[in-house]
Amino acid sequence: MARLGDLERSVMDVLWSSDGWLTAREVAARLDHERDLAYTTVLTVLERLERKGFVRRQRAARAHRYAASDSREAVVAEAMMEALGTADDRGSALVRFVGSVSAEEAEILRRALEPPAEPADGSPEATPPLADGSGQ
Amino acid sequence: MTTAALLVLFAGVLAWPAPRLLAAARWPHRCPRAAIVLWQAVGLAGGVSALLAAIAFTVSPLSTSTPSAIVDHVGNVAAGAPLDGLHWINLIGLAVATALAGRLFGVLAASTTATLRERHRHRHLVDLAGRRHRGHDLSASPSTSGPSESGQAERSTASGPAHEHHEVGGAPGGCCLCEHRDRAGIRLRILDHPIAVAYCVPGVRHARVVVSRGLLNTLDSAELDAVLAHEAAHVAGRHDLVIQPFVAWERTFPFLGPAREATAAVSLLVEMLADDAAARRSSRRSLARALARLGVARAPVPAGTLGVTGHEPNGIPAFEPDLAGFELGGQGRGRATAEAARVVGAATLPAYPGLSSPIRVATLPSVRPPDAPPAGSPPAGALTAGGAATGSAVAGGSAVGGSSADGGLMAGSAGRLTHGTGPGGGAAGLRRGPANPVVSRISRLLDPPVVRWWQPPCAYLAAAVILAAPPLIVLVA
Repeated sequence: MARLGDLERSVMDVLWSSDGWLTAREVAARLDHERDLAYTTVLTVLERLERKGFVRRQRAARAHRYAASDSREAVVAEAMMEALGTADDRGSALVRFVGSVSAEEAEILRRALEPPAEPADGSPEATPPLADGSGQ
Repeated sequence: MTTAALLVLFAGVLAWPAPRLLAAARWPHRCPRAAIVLWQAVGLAGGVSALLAAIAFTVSPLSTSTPSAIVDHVGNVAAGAPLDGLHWINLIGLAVATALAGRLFGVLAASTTATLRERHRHRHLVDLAGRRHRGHDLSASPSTSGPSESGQAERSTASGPAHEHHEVGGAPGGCCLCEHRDRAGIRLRILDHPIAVAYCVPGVRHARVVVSRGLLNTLDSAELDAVLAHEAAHVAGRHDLVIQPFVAWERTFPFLGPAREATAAVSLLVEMLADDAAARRSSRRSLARALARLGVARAPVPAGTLGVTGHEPNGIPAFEPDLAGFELGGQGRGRATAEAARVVGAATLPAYPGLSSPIRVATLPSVRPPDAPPAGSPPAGALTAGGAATGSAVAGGSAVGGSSADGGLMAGSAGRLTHGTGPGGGAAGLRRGPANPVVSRISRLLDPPVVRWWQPPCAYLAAAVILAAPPLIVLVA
């Protein structure tokens, strides 16, 4: 289970959930993995992540200390930007469920979805209000 | 010389009129798979005959028959005198051939590499920042109309302790996120972001299906199930490989309109393929509704845009909370509605502002009503009400087919539709020529086209003929 990808993820989770800088040893201590990980493994993962730009390193007195370069939200936002594809980019790196929709098409769909006049027959479904995805 | 001319002509036909016609045709939507094969044949044969034309032109002085001229030329090259018997003009042909081949393959290689790199990076982002599915307290309410494979349902409940199922106003049951998570080979990632989005990152062993929190909040469980099945179909079918060459073609000839149209058409066909696969696993209506909801959510909406389309009062913010109760009606199986404009006008856009009460009745999908009804299932009278509307559907000119499980519901919607559009009459903006992708997908889902038995074989045959033509021209002419 402790594949590299999973490890990287867990390490990032630790870094994201902590406020300040952590040494590799501290990261290893906070990892709650199925089995105890060798300190060197954690160090390797941290170095990999640093090479990829997800993690920053600070030289401390004895050991290096690490922190996430961007918040989780920033990384999510980056992924979302790519997923939404700014332009009409059919680069096909990602296969989207719905591509971009023009204002006119949106209007058509909006009419299709429009709730009819009477609100009495409200469906009991607890769909929370759509987080405003449109105001991007 | 005639060989080269014929090949150029053929390549020209495949580069311009053929894609135009194929992109404008309606029948590909009936059998997307066969149509995709035909598209591939057109693209491949076009490239091959352009290259062959250049070669045939280059070697034309050597012999009257192209094959023997090629053999002669190869002999000359082997003998160390590659230019023997060639005129300077033939060398231009050679240069063109080399440039063309270089560009074609260069762009293909470059765009493929770029795509792979981008994908790899993106997968990394998603893996690091995305959440797995455990303990979802979002709207992923228990799925009642999930895939029927009981094995999977069992597995997802068996692995229950790992993720708590929060009940969002519905009966407990399997969770479609869990089911999909458990499907072999697909990893689900959830991005904690309010914008609704679903997509897949294709890959051989590392495919990811990514959904956002906004999506989970937007869709009900049946719709979510349909969307996930759709993405899974993309992954399983390696649809990215289908699109990739067309993207390369488009980038090779960015100035060529048909290349763009080809890419758009093939992308749409691939989506339809995935839609069909998803519809087999869940329900067409759920998928259609998911499409419509996401289409709206994904629209570039900001305040100004709405004003332009003259729909300000019902702008998104006011209307979104009501999404839960919307109805996307379908039309029976209106064969007569093959024409795009009518489909768009009549079938997919049911609920115009003018339509009122009856629309609401048969709201949510429930393909299997006997099971625990989905959260938000219609009131008890719904089905009958839907059935009652059937009459007007028939009157409205569409032959109602009860073949699908929810035929009654669909017929009902169609009835209300025809009912509503008649008096309403408006919808001026909807009578547009080519349907846009999302709308044509929705209309296709709600009104499954009738596939005549001879259509796919004909398409395959045409593909074979097109592929065989360039070599035949070389051999015969």
